[in-house]
Amino acid sequence: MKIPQGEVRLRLIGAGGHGILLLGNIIGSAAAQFAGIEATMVIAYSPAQRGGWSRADVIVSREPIDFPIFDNPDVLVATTQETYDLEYMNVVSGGLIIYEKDTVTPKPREDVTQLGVEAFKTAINLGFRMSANMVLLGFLNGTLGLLPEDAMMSAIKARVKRRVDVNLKAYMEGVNLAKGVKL
Amino acid sequence: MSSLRVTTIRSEEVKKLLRLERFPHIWCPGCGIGTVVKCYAEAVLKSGIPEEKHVVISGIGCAARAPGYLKLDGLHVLHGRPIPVAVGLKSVKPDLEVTVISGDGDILTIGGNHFIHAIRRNDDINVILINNFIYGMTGGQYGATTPLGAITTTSPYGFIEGSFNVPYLAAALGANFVARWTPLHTKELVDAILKMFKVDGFAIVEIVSPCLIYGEMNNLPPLEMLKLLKERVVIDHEADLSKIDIDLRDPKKPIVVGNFVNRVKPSYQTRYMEIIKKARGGK
Amino acid sequence: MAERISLLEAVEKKEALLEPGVYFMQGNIASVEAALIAGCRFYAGYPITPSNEIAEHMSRRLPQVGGVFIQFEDEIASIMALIGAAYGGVKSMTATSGPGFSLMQEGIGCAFMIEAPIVIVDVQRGGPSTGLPTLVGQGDIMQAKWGSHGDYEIVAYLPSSVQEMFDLTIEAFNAAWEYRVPVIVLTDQRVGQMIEKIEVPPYEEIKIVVRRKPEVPPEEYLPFDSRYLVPPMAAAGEGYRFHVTCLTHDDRGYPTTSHNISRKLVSRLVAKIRENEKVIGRYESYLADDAELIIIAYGITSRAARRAVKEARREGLKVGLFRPITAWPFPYWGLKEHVDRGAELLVVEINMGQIVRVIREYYNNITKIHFMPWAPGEVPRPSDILLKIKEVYPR
Repeated sequence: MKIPQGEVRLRLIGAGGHGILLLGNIIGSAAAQFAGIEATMVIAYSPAQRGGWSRADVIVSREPIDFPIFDNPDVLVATTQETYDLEYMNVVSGGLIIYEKDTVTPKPREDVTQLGVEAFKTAINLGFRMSANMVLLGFLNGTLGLLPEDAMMSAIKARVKRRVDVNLKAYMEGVNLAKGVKL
Repeated sequence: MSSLRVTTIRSEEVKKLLRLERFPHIWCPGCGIGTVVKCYAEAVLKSGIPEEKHVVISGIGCAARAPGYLKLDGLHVLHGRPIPVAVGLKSVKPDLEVTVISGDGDILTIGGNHFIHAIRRNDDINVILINNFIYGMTGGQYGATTPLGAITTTSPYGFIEGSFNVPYLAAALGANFVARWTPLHTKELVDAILKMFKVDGFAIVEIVSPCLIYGEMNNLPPLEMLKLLKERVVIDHEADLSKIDIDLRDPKKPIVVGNFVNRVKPSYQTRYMEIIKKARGGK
Repeated sequence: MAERISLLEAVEKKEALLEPGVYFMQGNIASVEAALIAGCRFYAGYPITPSNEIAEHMSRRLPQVGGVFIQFEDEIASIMALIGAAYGGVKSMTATSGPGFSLMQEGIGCAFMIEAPIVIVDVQRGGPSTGLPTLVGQGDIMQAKWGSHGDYEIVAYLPSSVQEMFDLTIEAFNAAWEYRVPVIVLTDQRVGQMIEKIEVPPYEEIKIVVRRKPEVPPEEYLPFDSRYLVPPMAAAGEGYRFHVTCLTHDDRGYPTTSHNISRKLVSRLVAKIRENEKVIGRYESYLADDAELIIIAYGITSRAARRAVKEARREGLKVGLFRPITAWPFPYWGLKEHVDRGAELLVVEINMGQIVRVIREYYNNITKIHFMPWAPGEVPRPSDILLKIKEVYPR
């Protein structure tokens, strides 16, 4: 996909416990606090209190952001089949979908780039399954070049509460997985 | 009136605590509220706590006019809501001695929810609840302490609801200090209020008080009511609170008074100091 | 006891407050941090969606700055506890949403009458009644103004961003303590719960209003001294021995039924706000100067409208935006020049018609006032507004 010049709209969605909100917070922090650009995030949950999905709609932009709500993301990151199915048709034509390879079987969309990542497996190999979201983050940023590496790293350090080192490593693993990916 | 006069000695000292420019007051002849106000003023003077640290708060009703006659910091707020106002003030100014003086309708009926939760939280306030069994100011409607069978302007055929047994309710909720007295027991009432000032936590005294409005409708004018109180009052600090509900119509039923509960259990405001320490990392 | 007082003093040192800098923060949280910087040291509230982040964050943060948090049994107790704290001289706040805001109305009237400075954050959700607890609404505009009985004036801010949740919360405390009135931060679920970049300025750049204390000896002090528009305020325990009441009262705070005193009191109370409407009232215009159609929108809706204005401009339509920053007093004067030169108005709000009534009050029969009602639960998309623009655009 082409990286939009103005706003980049990212929809991050997955099961509760997959660290989706943290992922959104890190992207937003990296943009707002460490890269000095604008960011917004709007959160939504499935109606169930437990065991449902959570969704973070993040906008990153060099210009002030008018409206934080959007229906059609430029980029979708989905960690489960259910959430992928819910959202894959909403991605704009020419957009990008990043999904967890272990859990998601992608469906055909000719006008969208779809990339699978083994985020869970990579995280487990690092000895900390909870860092799968950081693998996705690394892969996302590695693929898109959305924000400077150091801004992302600083945001991870600021936002992650435990095992910062493993999370940073997981992020770098994600970046490495993105090497050679052509959009 | 004569029996009341005994209880309304005006010492010069107490006068200093009154807003005399507001006299004559609004209370009916024979009403017990004035005596309670005087007892409270005496207790303030005897408390050893500087007068300017005493704050008196009330809602709406006859008893709630008490702060208006006291030369202390006083807030006369909405019907039913003096307790939360007192809790808010005490929470931010723990050096103040905050007392609510109000009636049964205000504190127990419309304000019942605040009453039960302030006791549960164990807020560090004093409540002087003057129970005259009726809404006096609005013209004699029934409330949460109206006795069974009583005639009021909204129970012209007789009151059929139950009534709160105030000490039993307060004790069951866990109040640190619970007492009941009458305007005839001025010495004991002053003593009880002084005890309440010392309590860290919720302290309440119920005052069973004569009311002209109630008396007119129920053949119990204030003088008769005082006579009834005199005859039927039994002081029993150890009373079984479940049995001390008031029935004015049953001549055999005693009206039990006393200082029933005095236990030590830290107040919300004291416990909150620990929260502040914890939140500040022990600093 | 002495210990608590010293903890409250720690506040003076700005200890444990959010440091100046850039953050990526939720609107509700920003409101809390702003309140603490403004000097709020007491919170009383009852849980209600979508305002809960405010109470939760307060319960964690207040004790860190030596303040007190209490979760009360209901919103009625909460608002009354704020009045108690205010008369202790301490800045206090609560947060709620529509149903809880309704329960607070009698207490808001009491605070107005007794001149207690308090701040209420109302995170509006969809109504009526229990309505849509988790979803957006803008249906409390009129409740904020007319919800309590009797004649009163209110100050209500309409934040449209996380930055404004911060800035306008501080402003709300300032207005409350400047004028001794209840002040409302009238936000909505979307602005309250969205996360956005904000900048906390250096503390010395933040204006903070503090209580104006009496300068007379106690025997001369009048709690409602009508020689002032806003009388100085004594706090309990300072030796002034004030009496204050929600009954109609004279300067001494004594109840009265005198019509003359009633007239003087009510006139002064409303004058506090009416005479200062242009000091308090605020708005922002965007591309309005040459606009033939001006959209009036606030809160989250103003952000969709702003985008719609840009898109309309791209299509050659002269459309602008007028965003009231205060609902009350309503900054009607900001529209005058545009209306005078013939601009038409289009009001967009997430309700069935509230601010539009105010616009009609001032500009009916002077220009055309179009209206786009929007049911609660969703924010109109920029495309929805653009469609309406094209429908009503003057030609």
